[in-house]
Amino acid sequence: MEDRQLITNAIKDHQAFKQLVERYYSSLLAVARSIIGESLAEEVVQEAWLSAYRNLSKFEGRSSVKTWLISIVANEAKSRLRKESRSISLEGLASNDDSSFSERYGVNGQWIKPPAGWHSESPEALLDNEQFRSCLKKYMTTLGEQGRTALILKDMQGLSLVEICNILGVSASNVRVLIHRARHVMFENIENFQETGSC
Amino acid sequence: MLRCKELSELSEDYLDDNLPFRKKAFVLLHLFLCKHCRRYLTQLQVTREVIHQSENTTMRKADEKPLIDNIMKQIEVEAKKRS
Repeated sequence: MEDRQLITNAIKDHQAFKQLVERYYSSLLAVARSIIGESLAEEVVQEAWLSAYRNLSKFEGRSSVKTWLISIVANEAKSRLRKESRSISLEGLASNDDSSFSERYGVNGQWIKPPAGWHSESPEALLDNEQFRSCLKKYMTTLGEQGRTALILKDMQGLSLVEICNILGVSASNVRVLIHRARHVMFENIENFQETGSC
Repeated sequence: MLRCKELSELSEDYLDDNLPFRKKAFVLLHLFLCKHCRRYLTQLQVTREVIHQSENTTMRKADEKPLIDNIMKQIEVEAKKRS
């Protein structure tokens, strides 16, 4: 059954709501983890589903059901962060900046530290490597909160820039910067793994 | 002539095929002449693919069933409150 039909049915039919939960639980968990971390993510997702249930009748269909649900869980996670008195400022824009990557270019804009050759340029082969998968988890935690969230929403959840802007509450240009910087951090981490074989 | 750093700034739009014709032509010309930027773009694309494909392999797979059952119990409590 299509998402919108499930939303309509879910107001009176718990099984329809359960189908939505089963369909999007892992996506919502990934977004919650990116904002608030592993320990509180499941709790936040649970609250988000309750909030979605309470607001089923308010879903107007202006966005996809997935985007609507992700917005709810992102708001829930940010609100929880505020309660935990942890900063949700634009730290992603301030920290993890692109300075280390910028240093690879000279004043004339040419490479002074060009990328080295990689042993493996196959994403599948890299992800088959257990050591690499373990490093990748660590790499994600080194990203600023907003950069990590933007990257997960774009590259893992396939949301558009406009949808990400609305969820994070930042401008389109800032979202582009966050994603580009986060990808550069990941690029350099993968490059380091290729050179050293460790994180 | 585009500089390598400028190519980096256009790289995401180039890979997403979002560049206007003129800028895309500058990028292609630069790539034809610069092996470092060819390698950079290939590796940036690999990075994007790794992140894209990593959800299923690196996210801790929670045992979802009990968690979903718990959510549905709360939904039933909520529904009873309303009725």
